[in-house]
Amino acid sequence: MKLPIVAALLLGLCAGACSDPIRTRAVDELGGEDPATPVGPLHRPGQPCLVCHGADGPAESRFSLAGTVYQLPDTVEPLGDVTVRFIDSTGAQYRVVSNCAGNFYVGAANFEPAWPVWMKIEWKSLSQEMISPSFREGSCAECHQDPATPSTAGHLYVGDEQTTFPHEACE
Amino acid sequence: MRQRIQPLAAAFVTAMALASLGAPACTRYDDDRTVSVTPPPRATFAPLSGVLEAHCGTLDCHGSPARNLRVYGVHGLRANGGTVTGGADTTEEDVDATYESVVGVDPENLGVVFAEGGRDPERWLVMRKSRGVEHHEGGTPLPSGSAGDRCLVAWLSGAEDGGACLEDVFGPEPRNGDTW
Repeated sequence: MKLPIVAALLLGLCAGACSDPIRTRAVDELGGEDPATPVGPLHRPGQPCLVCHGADGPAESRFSLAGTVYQLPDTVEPLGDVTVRFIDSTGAQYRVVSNCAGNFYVGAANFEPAWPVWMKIEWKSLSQEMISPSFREGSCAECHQDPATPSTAGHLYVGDEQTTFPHEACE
Repeated sequence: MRQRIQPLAAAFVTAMALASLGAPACTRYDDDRTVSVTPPPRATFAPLSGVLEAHCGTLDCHGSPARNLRVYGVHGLRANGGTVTGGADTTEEDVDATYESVVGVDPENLGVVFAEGGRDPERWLVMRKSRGVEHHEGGTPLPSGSAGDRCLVAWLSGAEDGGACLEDVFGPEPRNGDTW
């Protein structure tokens, strides 16, 4: 067998071995982009961000923690200007603020937590703290999927029916 | 001098190689022995269940239906389809389900350790994982000598008072001068 053919075969085998079919399927299952929202900080609210923005994901920007926060438990109106606070097992803290799509994200270069990580969200005088930490999952939506079930926690939210929220366009 | 491999010989070698790869995959487990073990009792499990829920039972770890060892409770998976994660407090039904799952892991060694009053507890797989003695994706959730670890050992030794379970505190610890 000619050397170039052998080399090409080996390269093909390596390429197959190096791709992660589970990751690829997870990315595919997210579906396409919403044509009304450009790729960027406002896109794909409510999806598990680190599928693409994690260490092995296809996105260029890398996040260590990311998610989407909403106004209420029973609706999916996003909420901006929410302070999302993190504290890791060494006591190191970090905070970010959600944008108008409700999205928030922590750049992996800025804060790489020592797991587990406890989280808290604050908006004006309201505050919600997780009753348990995350031990390894940086995508909030992996656990905080809708609807809430015996194995999912439902989406992140800040308020209740007594809360008045602003109605602002998000572009 | 280069030797040329005959096609028949090459086919034989290939067939043997494929056969050797297939052999382990086709091996059956024929051991039909029945082993009776007596695990530590459910009656003393509730305090330990609380520790396991906090340290191990979140949705991204053993509070997931994808795990062999499942920990049920308010932090993660619920035993009752009508109860949601993060909702109502952990129920007796959750504790029952966690107990069933825990005693199903490495049951022979669990039974031996319990029968010997908790001696050499690292013979039981869960103990090795929780102490980080054996590779554990979740690290070392209950370091040797910690309150949670002593709680687990107390259950294995048959203690009825819950041991150190109530001493176990698990939560964010801000650095000096910080608030949370």
